[in-house]
Amino acid sequence: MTLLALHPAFWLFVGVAFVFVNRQRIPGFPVGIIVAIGALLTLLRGAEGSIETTVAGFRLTWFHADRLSLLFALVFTIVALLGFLYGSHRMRAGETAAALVYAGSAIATVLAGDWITFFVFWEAMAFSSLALIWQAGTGGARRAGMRYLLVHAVGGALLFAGIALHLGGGGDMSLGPLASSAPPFWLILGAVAINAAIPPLHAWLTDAYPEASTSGSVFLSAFTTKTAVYALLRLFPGTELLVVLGAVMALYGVVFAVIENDIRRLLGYHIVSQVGYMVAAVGIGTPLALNGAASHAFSHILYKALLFMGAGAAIEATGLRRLSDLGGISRRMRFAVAMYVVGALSISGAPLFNGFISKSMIVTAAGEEHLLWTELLLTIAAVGTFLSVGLKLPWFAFFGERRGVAVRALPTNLLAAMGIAGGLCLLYGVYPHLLYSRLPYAATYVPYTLDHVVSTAQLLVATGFVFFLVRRRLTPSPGIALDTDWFYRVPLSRLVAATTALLGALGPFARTVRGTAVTRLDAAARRLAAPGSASRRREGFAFRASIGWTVLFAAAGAVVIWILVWLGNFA
Amino acid sequence: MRIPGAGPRAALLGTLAVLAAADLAGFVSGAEHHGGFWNSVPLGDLALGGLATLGLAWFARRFVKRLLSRPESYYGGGRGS
Repeated sequence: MTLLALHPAFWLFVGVAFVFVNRQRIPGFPVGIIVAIGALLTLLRGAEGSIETTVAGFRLTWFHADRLSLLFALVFTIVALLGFLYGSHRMRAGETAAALVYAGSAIATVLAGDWITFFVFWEAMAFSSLALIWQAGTGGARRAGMRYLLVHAVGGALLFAGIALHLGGGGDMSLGPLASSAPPFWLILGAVAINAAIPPLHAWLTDAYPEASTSGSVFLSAFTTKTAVYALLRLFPGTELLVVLGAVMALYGVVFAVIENDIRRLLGYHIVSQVGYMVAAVGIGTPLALNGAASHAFSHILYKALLFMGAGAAIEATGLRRLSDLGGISRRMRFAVAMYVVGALSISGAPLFNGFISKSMIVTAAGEEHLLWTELLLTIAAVGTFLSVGLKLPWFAFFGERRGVAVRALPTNLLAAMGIAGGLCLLYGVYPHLLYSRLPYAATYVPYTLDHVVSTAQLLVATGFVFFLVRRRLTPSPGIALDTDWFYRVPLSRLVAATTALLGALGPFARTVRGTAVTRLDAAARRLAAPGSASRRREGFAFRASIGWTVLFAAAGAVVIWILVWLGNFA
Repeated sequence: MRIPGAGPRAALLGTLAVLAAADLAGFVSGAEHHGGFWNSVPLGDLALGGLATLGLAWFARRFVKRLLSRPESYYGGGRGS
């Protein structure tokens, strides 16, 4: 009981146990909603402070609450509650358990006060998010999950090596900014950059998130990248490299979103773009910029969850996910479309919506530091965001040419979750002090000046006018756009095939070792995936081989990194 | 009652005109302006919004899509996306 009173994540972990104990006894029991409410109440009554425990000689601060960690824990808990409400009509035991572990691990990561606790929950987050992706039960989800595992295994190895070097070199156990000249700085920054989806390390996001279930993608949109933003704020404030990376990232995402046809992949590119604002703000490093990064993460989690809920609503209502297949369905799902538009105006930074009060803070911070090019690129990215999320997606999916698509009625819980998320986007947009009063750094900012409002409105209206003129040229077409995942999808997979053939000739020992690992991992993946999927049965050997080889590659990568660590420390 | 000639285009043009007037009024009255050069010249934000939209649409469609788009799959032959 003491743990439940102290740490919000424990509510979610207890919920997992309840899911497995009660599996079929109380069908439809909303365990996720109940434990998320418990976590929220714990967080709202909690205060700043730390709790330490000594384990095997290590002094672990498994609960460290300050204004920064409490801000992230609060919004993580809110979005977990919304996610469970949104998906309660369709989430089965496995998906609920994966989402509970994922949300709980994200909350525990931001409340971790030492490197070991941070690493343990960071990795728990990676594996539970993988389980959540696999819960979609489709062949596409299984393959995307394997690529996700490959990338995050490398990230985990980098983080582990960085922490080991840091602690081995006599570094402080408590989380804090790292010395920029030391190897742990670059190893840990690399690991965090993977989770933050900084290009070219971003493709796992736009690959895997669209393949999750409609409720799964709501959870996925919230936790991994924003936990990485938290880590950047905690560990790398004022790192100038991040200014360049963030500005490029903001623009990279919108360029790909303009040509994207899959609605959730399009939104995935906008996670990359919006996290770019936060990364740039961390790099700027002034109190106003750091507050901007924290507040934009808070706003982004709410409106991005709402946008993924809107995309999921369209998919649940029609069974379609491509703009080129959708069109003219707004009359049959008015409330869901209205809430999507609230999310779109929020991400576009329109006045009165929560994106405005946080995004304008970052752009202003760049201006105050005379970072002209950063300010310009972030402003152009804002234009691109409105172009693709605020105009292109709703026009072609909801309002455009009618294609005779059948639209099913949406469940009440789904609409209620969208309504609450939309209400929060408006609430924080109209009353910014509700958010500003929780920000971690000492800086004052007034978003609603005539200059800010008029200039933002001009940018958005000009964008709308030009879109109206050129919208036919932006008509989406079937197909995909290659991204950096091409490198591990095509050349790496060919290398694996060639190596498989070579190893096959080495005799029965190699085949037995590989076969055992592959069989066991495949069985685990099958247990995680939803039952009854025909595509799963058809996958056969190719899938088993991909699992085995991904793990072997990850293990080999970890060994290489460990050798480098050893050489750096002892050679 | 329907206003003659009203429609999305007229609404957008009307809003543009109002915003342009507000911007010009701000400059005439000497109101403070923040940030980059586009915010410190009359109608700069409108111009940036329009040009950025055209530029992004052109770059994405004419360059990125032409260079990187594929019909359906990374692999060809229906091995999935």
